[in-house]
Amino acid sequence: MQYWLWWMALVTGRTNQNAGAPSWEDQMLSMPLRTLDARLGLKTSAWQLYAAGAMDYLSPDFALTEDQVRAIDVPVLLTVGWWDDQETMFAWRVLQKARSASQCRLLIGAWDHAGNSAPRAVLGGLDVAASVLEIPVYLERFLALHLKSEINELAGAPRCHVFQTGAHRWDDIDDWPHPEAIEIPFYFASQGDARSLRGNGQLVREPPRGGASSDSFTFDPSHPARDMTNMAVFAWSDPPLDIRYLLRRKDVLVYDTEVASTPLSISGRVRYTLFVASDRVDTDLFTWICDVHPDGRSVVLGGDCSLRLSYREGPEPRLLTPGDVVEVQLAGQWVHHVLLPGHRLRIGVASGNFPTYARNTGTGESWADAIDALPQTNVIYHSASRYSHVLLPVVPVGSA
Amino acid sequence: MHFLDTSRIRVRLDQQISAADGTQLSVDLYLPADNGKYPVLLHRTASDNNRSPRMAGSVQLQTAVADRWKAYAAQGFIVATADVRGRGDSEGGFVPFVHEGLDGVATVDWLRSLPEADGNVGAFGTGYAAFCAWSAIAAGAAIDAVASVSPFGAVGEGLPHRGGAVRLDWLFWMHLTGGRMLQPAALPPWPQVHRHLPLKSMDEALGRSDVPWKAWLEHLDVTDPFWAPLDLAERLARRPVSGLHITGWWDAQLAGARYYYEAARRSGAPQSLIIGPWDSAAVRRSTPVVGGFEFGLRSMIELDEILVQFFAAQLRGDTTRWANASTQCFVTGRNEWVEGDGWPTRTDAVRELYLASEGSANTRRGDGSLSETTVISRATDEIVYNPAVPVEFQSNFRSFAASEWSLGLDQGHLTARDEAIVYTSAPLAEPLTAWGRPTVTITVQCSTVDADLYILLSDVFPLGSRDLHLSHAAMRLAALPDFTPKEPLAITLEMDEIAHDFLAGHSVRLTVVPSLFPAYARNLHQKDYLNATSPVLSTITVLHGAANKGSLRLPVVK
Repeated sequence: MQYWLWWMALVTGRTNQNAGAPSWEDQMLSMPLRTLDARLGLKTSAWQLYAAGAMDYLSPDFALTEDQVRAIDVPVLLTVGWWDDQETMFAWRVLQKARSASQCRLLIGAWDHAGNSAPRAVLGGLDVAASVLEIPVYLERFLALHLKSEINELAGAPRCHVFQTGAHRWDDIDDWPHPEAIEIPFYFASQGDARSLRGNGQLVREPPRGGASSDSFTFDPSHPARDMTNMAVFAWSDPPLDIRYLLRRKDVLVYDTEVASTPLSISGRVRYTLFVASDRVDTDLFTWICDVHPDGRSVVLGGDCSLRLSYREGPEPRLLTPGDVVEVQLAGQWVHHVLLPGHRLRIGVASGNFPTYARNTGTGESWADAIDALPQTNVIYHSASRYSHVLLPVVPVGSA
Repeated sequence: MHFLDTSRIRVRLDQQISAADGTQLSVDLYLPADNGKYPVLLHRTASDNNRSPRMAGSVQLQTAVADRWKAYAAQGFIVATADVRGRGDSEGGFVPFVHEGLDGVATVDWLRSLPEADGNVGAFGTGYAAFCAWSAIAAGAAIDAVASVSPFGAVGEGLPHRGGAVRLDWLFWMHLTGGRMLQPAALPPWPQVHRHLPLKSMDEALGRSDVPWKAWLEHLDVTDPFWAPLDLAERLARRPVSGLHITGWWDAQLAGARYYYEAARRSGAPQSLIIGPWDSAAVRRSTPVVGGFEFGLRSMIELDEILVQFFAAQLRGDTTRWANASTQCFVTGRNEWVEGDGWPTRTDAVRELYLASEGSANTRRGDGSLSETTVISRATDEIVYNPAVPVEFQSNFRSFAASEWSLGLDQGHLTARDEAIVYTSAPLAEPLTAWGRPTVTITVQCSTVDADLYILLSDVFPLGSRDLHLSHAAMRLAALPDFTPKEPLAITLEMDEIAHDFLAGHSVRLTVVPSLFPAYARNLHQKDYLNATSPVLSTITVLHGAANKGSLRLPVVK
């Protein structure tokens, strides 16, 4: 993630640095990435460690061991927003094995990272006023409950206070995700060209029966899909949650469900299984899930999810053979959402998500040292044997 | 201004003046310490003549305005500061604009009869108070010089609407001037008030029945006699009064300043004009940074000092500190003052840039461009806009109260919205100085019976790092006589003045949005603009290419 360099720039030295000081936009496309810190004039040693693979959370020493998790014996309050770093939702699941699990609490609101201290009423163009909460007050209740043994309103409350997007209401539930959610596959389909909002990609309940069917797109590293990051400061400044600007591109595949006639409640993690081939030895995949409103807005649920295909089998890289189809799994977005009647779900698939993520050069060279980059033409299959699909954690109708 | 000895200023508060209809009007007098005859400076305000904070703006000095009037008096003037009818200590009811002409005449007559008055009268004011000065002059008050800062005026150019699109900051002003005293600006639940439907009863959501909101909205036709009190140009052109006009490029009353300047200039009396890099707050009290952009310490002026120098020259013949009538414009980009003459419309040539795209000009990441040549293209750009989710004119906006908001001039939050279609030129090889009113011609087709269109001009810094808003135009389509839903229509709109250097490496950008909420009310795309309560989705299509005109015309200076 090229984003880490921004964070490292921020926390270099003894005090918070002005991460907007370097000429980010001027240097962001420059290669190789290993020396990008020097070209930006940054004095961080962290980037060199990162480039050397010494700071890699795929590595075994990055995560807590099972024994370490089981030994946790303090009440924990995890606070996160739907448009924040969703690793925290994973941490919540891990925490369920802790000795103190019954005293742990989860607070998820409709906010971004900054919202963990000061939620906004309008986020990225979306009205989330219903989610606005005095977070310091909530924190104080939690601390008072455990440190002052105060019998306050949290004492008898369910453990999870989770904002349900779509329905736009707070849910108080004992466990999250919803324990009765079951994974239901939605299959990718198209009439041959799912590129952009103008394509014909679909998400359907019926598995594909036919033979060769696929969608192809070309990712050009010299013109990568760009998020709305203001490169002058390389920081998020309330980016739009409506990501049609991204989905309009010809190098993004777009798959839509039918318009929902009844509410569809989903709770948990979205998982993707993609059958993919590339004309290069490596490429990236990014996926997004959106709630498409009747007015056309394509509101992203959570962030992106990503996979560098050479890491499809885990921490040990294995290059692709150009043209060979591989089946890959992407653990995707965490959601707690109701798709309202009149809305549809949408999946976007692309191979660029710059500058949050470094561009894949397609050459198989190490990301830190590659200089030259090649366009990558990638194919997503949806036939009877190569049934690319997404698993949605659907809460059955009638579940409490 | 150096420290002035105001300790012995003679003060006479709440002097009663009978208006023509017998209503008692209250005026406070501040006289120089020493006996003698002095010129009078009249200030009539709806914002409380002695208790209100010294000035609005981002720098709040909690000093009463009375200190300001004492400082003027210490420099040899009698300052007469009046509550207008129905405000503060004056009797009667406050009906904006209606009584200020005759009440101003009565006040000036009374002031001239003061034994301390030397026979010369100046009038000054900011905002509504500046209107009061012009209204009195038009009504025949014997005023010899006027200093007008950010004056209310120019019906249909922002008051109460622009191109038919109603401005909501008038409701904010009505709240401030509700009741008899200046009201607490941030008190009302503004986000809910601004979202109230229908537009017609937004005053009820504010909880005020004492404001003329409904009356204004019932008279959106700018030719309606309702607005006659603001129709001053012809009378002012026959009343030669030397004037000082002060406004800013982002002042909401720039059109008002233009209106009075042009009328007063026709009278033949000398007129001075200062246009700085200011918004409505900074025009009242200069700051070196406006909207997040640094214009430098030299961009600032000492408003009180300039007013005193102006009146000393006009009323006492003391020209030692006052230059001749001239225009001073602050050229943004270059960030320097340039002297000239007349309203800043000098134009050596017109640079025309044409709108083009491949059909996806939405957001700044889209493919819209401004090109030097016409592009033959069948591509169209589409805005699909749901007024239930308005495009906001500022990021994280709550209210117009100075304690909660100061203007941001970077357009980054706007150009990220999919409802924004964005046309950006290639980086300029040579600098370009634009000076005057840019015009935009755009061919649009709209799926609904009504919709708003806002066109914004901005300067994009190299590599897109910043996007400085320069000027805008607004139009409510149903207000156009030849608008028909679902049929293409070429519209030409005039933006407000700019004097701006686009430096080499910068780009020119046009952004089209269907809403600038809540600077402007939401258009719900229904037939009844004022009474509609349910938002309807609208698709606004921008057509370009040979048959469909679409261009920006920038007046340029060589």
